Amino acid sequence: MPELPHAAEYRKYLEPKTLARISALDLRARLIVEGLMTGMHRSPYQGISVEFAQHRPYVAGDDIRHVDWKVFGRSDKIYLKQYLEETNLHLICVVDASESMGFSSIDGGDGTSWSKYDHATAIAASLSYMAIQQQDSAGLAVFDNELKKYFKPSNLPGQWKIITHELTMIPRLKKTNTGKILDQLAEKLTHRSLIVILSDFFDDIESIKKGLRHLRYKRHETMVFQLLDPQEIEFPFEDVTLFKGMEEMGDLLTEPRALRLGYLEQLGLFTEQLKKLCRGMNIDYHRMNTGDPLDVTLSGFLATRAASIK
Amino acid sequence: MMIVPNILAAWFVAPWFAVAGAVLASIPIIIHILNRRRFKTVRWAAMEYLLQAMRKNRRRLKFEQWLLLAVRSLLIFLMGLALARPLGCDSSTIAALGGQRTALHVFVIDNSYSMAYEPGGRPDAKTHLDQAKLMAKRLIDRLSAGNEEVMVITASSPIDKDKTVDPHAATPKPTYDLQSARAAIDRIEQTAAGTDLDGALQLAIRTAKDEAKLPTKHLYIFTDATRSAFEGENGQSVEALKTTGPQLARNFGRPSLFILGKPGQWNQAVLDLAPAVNLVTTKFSADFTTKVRGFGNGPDPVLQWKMNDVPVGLAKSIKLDLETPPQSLSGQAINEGGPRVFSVTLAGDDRLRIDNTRWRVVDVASEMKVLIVEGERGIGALQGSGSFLELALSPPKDVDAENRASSNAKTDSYVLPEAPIGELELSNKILGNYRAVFLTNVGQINPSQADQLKNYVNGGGTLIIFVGPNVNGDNYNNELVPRGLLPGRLIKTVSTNDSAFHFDFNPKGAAHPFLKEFQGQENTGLTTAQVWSYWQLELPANTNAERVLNYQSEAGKPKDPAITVHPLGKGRVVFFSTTANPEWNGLTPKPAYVTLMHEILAGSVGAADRWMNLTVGETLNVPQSLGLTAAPTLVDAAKNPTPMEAVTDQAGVTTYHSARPMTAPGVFTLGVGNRSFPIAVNVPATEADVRVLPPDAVKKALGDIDLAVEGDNLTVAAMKIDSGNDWSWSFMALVFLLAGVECYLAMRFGHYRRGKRLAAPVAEPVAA
Repeated sequence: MPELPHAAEYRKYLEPKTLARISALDLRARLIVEGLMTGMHRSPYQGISVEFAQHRPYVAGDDIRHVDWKVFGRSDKIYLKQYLEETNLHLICVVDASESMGFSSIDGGDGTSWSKYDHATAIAASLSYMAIQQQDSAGLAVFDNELKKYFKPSNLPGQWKIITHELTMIPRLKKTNTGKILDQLAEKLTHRSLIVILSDFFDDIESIKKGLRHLRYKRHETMVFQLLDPQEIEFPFEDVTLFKGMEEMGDLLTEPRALRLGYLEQLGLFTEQLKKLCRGMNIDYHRMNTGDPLDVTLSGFLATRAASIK
Repeated sequence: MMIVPNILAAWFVAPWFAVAGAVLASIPIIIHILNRRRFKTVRWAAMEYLLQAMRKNRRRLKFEQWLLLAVRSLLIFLMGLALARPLGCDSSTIAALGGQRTALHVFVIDNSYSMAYEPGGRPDAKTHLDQAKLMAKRLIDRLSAGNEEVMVITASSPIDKDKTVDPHAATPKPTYDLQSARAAIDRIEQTAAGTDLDGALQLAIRTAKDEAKLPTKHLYIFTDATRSAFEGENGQSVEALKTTGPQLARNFGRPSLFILGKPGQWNQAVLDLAPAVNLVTTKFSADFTTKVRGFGNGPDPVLQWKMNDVPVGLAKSIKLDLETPPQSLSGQAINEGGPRVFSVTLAGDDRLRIDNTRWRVVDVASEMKVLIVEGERGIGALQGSGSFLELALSPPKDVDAENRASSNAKTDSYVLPEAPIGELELSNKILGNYRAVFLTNVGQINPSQADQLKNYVNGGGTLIIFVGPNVNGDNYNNELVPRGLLPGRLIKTVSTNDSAFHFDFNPKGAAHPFLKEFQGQENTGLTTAQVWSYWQLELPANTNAERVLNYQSEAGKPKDPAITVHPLGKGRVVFFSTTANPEWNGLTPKPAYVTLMHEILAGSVGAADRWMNLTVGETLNVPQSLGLTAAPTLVDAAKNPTPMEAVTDQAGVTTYHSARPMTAPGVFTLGVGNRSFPIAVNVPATEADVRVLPPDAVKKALGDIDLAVEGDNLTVAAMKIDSGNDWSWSFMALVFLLAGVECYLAMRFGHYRRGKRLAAPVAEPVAA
């Protein structure tokens, strides 16, 4: 196993272009996590736990990170916060492996590229790594128009390797059917879990809505990461271009400059719809630009989680 | 196929730009088509949203594309139109809004001497020429600088013969610089020359053809429209104008004619002044005649003769009209030989005074050197073939005709014959020293002698040939006839032993000028003189020889010439078909012989003063016979010098002439060493008739073309400049406007290249 880079150089390894050149997913994930730790000066892993349960008095040797300082301020007594299921989190990363997730405009050099799927797998692997580090369970679901792979959450020593291995093995050729997959997943899961969905969500919004509602009904905590490529976000095309649609969407020969505003409007409408949908179900929604460094998005996500737990 | 270019040429200054614009307007379409075939391919995940955008904006996108394409094509097309400089729109109001005038304007200004007429009543212009220049400059003030070309042409007879520039051109070529055109008009001088309207109009036509690219061409003719300008004395000028007129109409459409002459204008002029005889001598009193005319109705002037600026005779009032008979100065005795300046002046209230005085230099002969060549020499008195001739030309006072050799008495005659020489001595003589050379019964002339005689006559000398029995007809036919020294071939000698031949002369009938002394005179001996032999001369049908006297002949038979005269170069040749002595005729002993010889000599000898009498526009050429050893000087009456030039020919002979043609009338003085010669320069006689032609007559003179005839003031109609309206700048403004519209539309529709990537706003994460 290659040596992890020096602490001062972590930052650059969080760039997608750099990560693209690291073919081993496990290494990518570890780099991401360690990079996060370096940037944040403390473990980012805290706060993945879910609900606050109660206070207990501080005894010597306890981790002062869980001290409830508000209570101390009111009472001059030191109490620690305790959470439900602190060490019993079931994390499941649901990764979209459809053809559209294979879109990439980021060139890592040396023939490498960084697609949305790479971004999704990196996040999934990183989150799984953090969960397993904390003795939580991590699982994996990979889908396109059907559930290709499902690994129920586990914190066994080999679970992370299984996850990273499976994530690198899935080809991306099929269309998407997100709603149906979420339905299936909701039926499969027996424990309440933290479900992290990593997809571009280029699918029917009603179907997605139905799937998310099913998950919510089953009392799972859901987080949605919509992954979009920089070109999908900016639509920087200028010359006459033949757009060949993925997932059998057809072709279009057009002048992109004339369509740009209209496309951005339509994409924005869809994104807004999805956002509203998630908000309405109390689901965390994050839109991620696959061109941005992962620490930016992940640390933002983790900070949000930490704030919500407090 | 040529119809299309011709149509375009009527609407555009540079029509091929319009064609190019129309063709190149397809470039945006071609680029659009090519672009559709050259594209890059992108595998796209977010196709759904792209398709939705397309569905929603399809019609708008199509409209935008077509609109941009149309604007771009129109922009290129309009650019081509602007460069083609479209013309059109007769409405001057609309044209004033957007059109720029473009045209060629040719001004032909008559500056002949008749334009110096001062009609009065014009506060800003004294003469017709001043008024013409004023009007022309006012018309130029109305033109559009930078767009309209101006050419200024003068219409007087050209004086300076600079071959590099047309003498009529006041501006070397059409100019857009209106200021320099005005300056050229200011520089036009009043000349003393006649009118050469045809020459000026031909230059105008050439200019119009050279500037064919300009669609509109205007011609403005400023003239006094006098009869002398349009109805010249010689038919040649009239016919030329009739041919030129239609060419003007083809090139200029409807030329404008500004008639500066006033109805009722009049002029009095001295048209000619000359001695009544060919040779003025100190021997005889001379008569002089002058031709004076009054054109129009003017008061009677006073006529005064002068000799060397001294009045001669009394000044007298004279009524002048078109038929005034010649006025004479009779019996003017001149005691000394040499050049004398005679002048005639009309003093009156004339508005055109330049032709009121005419000068004539008359070289009065006090002695005339002649040379007699004898083919037959005699020892005794009157034995030679030229003896009688010598006696007749210069009869001594109280002389014994039989003892000429011992007589040293002086003669009253102005003719001074040297002692006759034989034919062999002829080659040794400088013939230029003699006013006349007589050949009497010279048998043969060798080629060099024949050349010598020919050169002498060509240079102005007079050759008088008497034949006789020694004459070799073949020699004369071979040497003299080809050189023009005989008017025709000698055929044979005709002799009679019975009844003699007589001259065919009727004292009461018409006679050659040489014989006018015999007219009306009975018993002069000319009619009764007998001729027993003569050489028969064959005159060709197209001969230029005049028969001075013929022989009588039988009825129905042609008359053989007895005496002929014909010109050769600057000189003359007189041929006598019989002897100069009584050998073949009985004329020579008669008194009529003396008179006849003197009359023939006086009538045939060239006036030695021809070179001293010039017309404005002629160059003074000093004859070689003056024997100049240094450069002569020439000054006018005010002692202003006129430059002289020397020309040396291949033989090393140097001659002098004035550096420029004479431009002003008057009496000049040519200084040659310690001698001086008067030189008279007169205005041409053809310009004096200042009666104004009616417009119809002018039109007719110009071949009945359509003319816009105006007077000597610019009317509103004349000031309206009807030029082709050039809409190029308006079209160019449209092009700029369209370019701005295209840029705006391209930006508005998003059809432009962005300078940097635009990042779509990142959605904020929504907390659960």
